[in-house]
Amino acid sequence: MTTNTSSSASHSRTAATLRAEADYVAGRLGFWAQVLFIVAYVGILSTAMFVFQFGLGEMPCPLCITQRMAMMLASLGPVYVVTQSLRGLLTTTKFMVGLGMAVLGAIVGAIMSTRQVELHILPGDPGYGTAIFGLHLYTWALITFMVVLIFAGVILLFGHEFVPIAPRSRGGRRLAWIIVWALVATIAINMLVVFAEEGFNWFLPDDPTRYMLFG
Amino acid sequence: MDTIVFGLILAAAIIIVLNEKRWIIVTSWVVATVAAFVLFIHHVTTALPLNF
Repeated sequence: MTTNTSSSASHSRTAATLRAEADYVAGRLGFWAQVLFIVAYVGILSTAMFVFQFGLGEMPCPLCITQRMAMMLASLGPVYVVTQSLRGLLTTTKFMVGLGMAVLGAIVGAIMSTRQVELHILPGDPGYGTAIFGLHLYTWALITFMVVLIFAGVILLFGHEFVPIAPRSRGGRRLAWIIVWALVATIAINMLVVFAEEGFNWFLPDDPTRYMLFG
Repeated sequence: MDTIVFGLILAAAIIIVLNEKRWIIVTSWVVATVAAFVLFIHHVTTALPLNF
């Protein structure tokens, strides 16, 4: 009888330990998933600016600019979650707020990119700008917003399992902070570049061809 | 206007990174999002000749 009770208690302890370890791994995975979200949008926004705008000389149209804005707004959700997690202040409520920002930002972005897809949807329309793998940048933008919605949906499906747990290592924490500030820098650079494109005018023309700040 | 909206997004980003008060963070994010959407609405000038 004593042996059975002791064996049962030991079994419960083992199960509890395994569960705690699984929660810890899921939490760490949840943290890096949020960081990866930010990395993906920093990469996409940087490619749009440095490859297409500066490299190929394609001036972004007003709708392209609003889609860049929506990508940044969606990314601010994970930025909130990651920074709060790094400070040890993340609660389930704050996690939900961050996911809410990502979802709403993605919905706003999807509305914007859908409008541009529809502008060029008729047969024979060449589209705006260069196509990558047969799809124009605004179509890819719509796909990224759909991916954000799927990402948030999957995370929410698991409930609290993927509430992020920040890394303890100095290297991991430093890397996460660098990525957070890389997004802030990306927003600042976009602001300066759009100022060069728009100059002191209130709005961009429908089909910009030059940087109006420089004449 | 685009520069101003980017300025609002940048301000929201800095507030989110440096601030801890949830209502300030959410308010700054909502203001930036509404501004971006209003800018988008301004550029939607015509109904498209499409049927859904």
